[in-house]
Amino acid sequence: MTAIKQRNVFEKISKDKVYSKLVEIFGSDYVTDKKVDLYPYSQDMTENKPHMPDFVVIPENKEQLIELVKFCNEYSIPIVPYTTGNNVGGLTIPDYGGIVVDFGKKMNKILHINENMMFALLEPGVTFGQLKKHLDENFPSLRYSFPNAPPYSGVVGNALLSGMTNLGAKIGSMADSINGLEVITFDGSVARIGSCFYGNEKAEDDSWWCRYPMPDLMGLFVNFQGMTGLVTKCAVQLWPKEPIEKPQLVVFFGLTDLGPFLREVGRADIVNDVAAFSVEVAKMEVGIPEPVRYPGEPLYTAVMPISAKTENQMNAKLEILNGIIEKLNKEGTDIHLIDYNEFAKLFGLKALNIYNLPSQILSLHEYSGLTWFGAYAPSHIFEELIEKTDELYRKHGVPPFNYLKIMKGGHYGIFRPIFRFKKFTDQEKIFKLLEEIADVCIDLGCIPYKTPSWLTAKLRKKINPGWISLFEKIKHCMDPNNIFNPGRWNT
Amino acid sequence: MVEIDENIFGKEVLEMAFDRCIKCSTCKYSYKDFEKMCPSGEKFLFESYWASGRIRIIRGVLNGDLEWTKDLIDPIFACTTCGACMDACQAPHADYIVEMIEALRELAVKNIGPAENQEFLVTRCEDSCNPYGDPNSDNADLKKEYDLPDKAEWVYFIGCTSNYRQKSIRDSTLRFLKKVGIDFTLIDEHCCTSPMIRTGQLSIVDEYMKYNADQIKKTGATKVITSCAGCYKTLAKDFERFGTNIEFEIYHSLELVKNLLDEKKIEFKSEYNKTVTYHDPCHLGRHMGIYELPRAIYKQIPGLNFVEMKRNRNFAWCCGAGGGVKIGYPDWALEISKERIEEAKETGATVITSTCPFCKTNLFDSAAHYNFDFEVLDLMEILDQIEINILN
Amino acid sequence: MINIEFPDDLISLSLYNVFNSRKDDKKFIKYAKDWNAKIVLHIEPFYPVTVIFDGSNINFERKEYPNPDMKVKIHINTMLDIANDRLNPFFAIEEGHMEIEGLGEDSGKIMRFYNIFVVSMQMVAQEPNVNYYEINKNTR
Repeated sequence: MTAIKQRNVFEKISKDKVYSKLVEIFGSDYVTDKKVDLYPYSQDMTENKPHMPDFVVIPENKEQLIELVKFCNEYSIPIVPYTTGNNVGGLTIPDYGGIVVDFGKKMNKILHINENMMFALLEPGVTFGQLKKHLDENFPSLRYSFPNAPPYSGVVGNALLSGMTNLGAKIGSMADSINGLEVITFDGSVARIGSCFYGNEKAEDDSWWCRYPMPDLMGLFVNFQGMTGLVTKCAVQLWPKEPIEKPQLVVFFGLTDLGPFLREVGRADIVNDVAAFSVEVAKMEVGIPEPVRYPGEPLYTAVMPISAKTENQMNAKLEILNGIIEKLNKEGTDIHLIDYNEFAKLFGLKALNIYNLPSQILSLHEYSGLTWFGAYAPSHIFEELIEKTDELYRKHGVPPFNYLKIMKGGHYGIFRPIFRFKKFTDQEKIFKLLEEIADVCIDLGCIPYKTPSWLTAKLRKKINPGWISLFEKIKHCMDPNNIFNPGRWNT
Repeated sequence: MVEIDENIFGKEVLEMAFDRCIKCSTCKYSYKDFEKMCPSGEKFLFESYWASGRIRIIRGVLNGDLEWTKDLIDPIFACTTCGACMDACQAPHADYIVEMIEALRELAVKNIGPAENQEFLVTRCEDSCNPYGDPNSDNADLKKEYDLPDKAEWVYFIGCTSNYRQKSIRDSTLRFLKKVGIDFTLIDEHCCTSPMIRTGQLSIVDEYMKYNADQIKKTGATKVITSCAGCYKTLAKDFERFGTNIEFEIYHSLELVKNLLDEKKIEFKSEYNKTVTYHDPCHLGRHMGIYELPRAIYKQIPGLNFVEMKRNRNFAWCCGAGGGVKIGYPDWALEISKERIEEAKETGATVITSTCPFCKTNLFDSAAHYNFDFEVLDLMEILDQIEINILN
Repeated sequence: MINIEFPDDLISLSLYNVFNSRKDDKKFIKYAKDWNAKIVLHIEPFYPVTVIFDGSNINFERKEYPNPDMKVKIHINTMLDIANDRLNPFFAIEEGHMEIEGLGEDSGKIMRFYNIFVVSMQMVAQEPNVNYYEINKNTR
């Protein structure tokens, strides 16, 4: 049974009055308080505790949201933004009830593409599949990127929560690709942040070209999990689409061969992305339902999209890549490079699913639950992370499903143990493992992203008091009545 | 895990709702092409109206989180069961999503009843053996008219929509079968029970399936042919699923046409000089995997200019009639169809054709309602308009 | 039809994929059926597997059977070169890129090996359709 935690909101104003106000703002077709409609929004795929919202609204424009925010601020009614609910962190579960704002259904327009300065201006509900299709059909020389996630996942949410995509080795966190935001703050005022900040009225479509060089207010909304305001527009950078693509597969036969490879390849600046998986994940992906690692099989594999403007440039990149592998193997690793497209043809076309949109690792969607310890990690500890988590997986009798990346030219990494499970039978067991992995990884210096509140509670014990104090001051300043996604980061 | 009543037919698929589905939302759009394809989700928008939302409703009603109130009717029944979600979903339970929705409806019928007016599908059958409530035809008159024997190799299972509403499809098929010399007969049909299965009203399903199977058996036929996609799917898949063993093969009329063309037993002689686009019926396409056969036939008709709609084959937008929506949500059924007709218009076609009388009904009704100048015809009706040579 | 066991290790699975695409192919059946042989295939840097042809069945073992009928050793990239027609298989043998034991002078064995392994890999590798969803509509 889902728990109902209230903040006594409906002592100040009755639910009926709230409902009437919402209908006035959004129209009766776009407001619901029916339990059956609220129920799917009360939960997600993760281990996080479900909680029912009181209402769900589907907005169409910013003006409706301004009215909503003013109203909710007056009565301290929580507002929880929702695009697709695909974040693996429980972030759209309304921990204190209130109003879930479903951006995914109508505020999902691609507003403008600037081909020259290469950016896309989006409403929050735009998904990866939608953006890719639009660019392929209308702007074939440009690309965005996509994560290993369903195509129906939100672009803006991914960027605001420091998600990563298949340009990770090149550009790092997708938060770095944000040029500008339009936000509604707690008192209903609207701020445009970034180069679009000129002018009283609507910004010109072509003005969203840069985040800098004014004082950077963007940070007030990045990774705040919707705690500081409602984002109603977001401009993200696009990239030229290079015509030559030759994705590569690397197989690693030593447990800790992956670490040095990621560090070297990261700084070599030749690949768009490195998505490394424990072989169990790779085996799942090519159709083995309950994978086991057998002796002689590689322990890790990595898929690396590589693109180039010319064949010469591609050959040069591959030469550097081969050189790195040769050097590492002389130092004792056992790493091998294979053409990914050719490999996929022989080993199973399903493997191509990872490489191109839809780029889900389909096997991870097989059951009713999915969770992870998804973290940014210092790259010098990859080996330790792999070894220590390997022990924990074996202790709990769970195949090691690890996912690693090197980001932004080698500046940092991603470490992400990921678990699929049957929500109604295995959740407790998986949560125990997840917690132990989280403790080990946090101790080693990993910082989880899209962090659920049970995990932020652990982080708070480790974070310096000055950060906590500043964070809470900002939260209070930006949201004095704590209406924006309350409960996140234990606020 | 919750206990589910053993008497619920859909018990097994309901249990799947607990072990499967992370609500990744892949079911919302056509995979790869990323086109809109869920009529109920696109209309009602809230998560409860998409496949993954319905799977959560299953969990909720079974684990006690959701009580059976009338609020549950629309999210459960406002769905054409077109199967687009099954096609898009990439998880192992994908092939069972529509069965899960049907099982949820079975639960709903037991607790709160079906959607408005859907109960007539059963009550009319109790009087007339067909969901239209028309006086039951045992097809004796048709047998006499077409001089059909009592026993034959084939049975033409007409289906209620063709027999009581789209008689032109029935008559075109009868004429075709006679012309090409198929040894066939008719039976005293009860409804195939597709409307009942789709709306969770299973009380007469067993009885009617057995009745129809017995009637067919009495003719000695080893093959059954139908020109209705709904009957085709029900006979070919659901009879066995519901425990009625059949000892005959099931064919859609277009399979026979294609066979005759391939074996060079017939050829199309005269021309059909129109631009035609084909609407894939959900029960033939997504549910039974038949996409290319009808296209191969249309392309062999001289003079026919065949054009495709943007969303075709497994990506086809539903006509809006199925799943009990035509009777339960008639206005919305027309709206869904309107979108399809608009899509057909974009092709430059003047004729929209299909191989399902129910699709034809709704597309025709929508074209009339919204004043679209469009001919809506079944394949058999088109073949009835052209000269066909019998070759050997 | 040839019945092919669905394995759960990487190398056997690749062979399964290759053979499975031809399990109803008359030519493949002609060569594979009733070969009744054990072929060790060692694709470096991976581990050796034994492919067991037994009547109408093909099974896999994740080990090197003693005294196999044939033993083949080849690097994965060489195998991909042959599969994609960048390297002639006989030239590969001649130059030592592919080591085969047990081939002998038996032309029947040579033909079987060539048609079952080499031709199959070439057909799969050179299949232009890479749309998994189209080819595998009945699987997830």
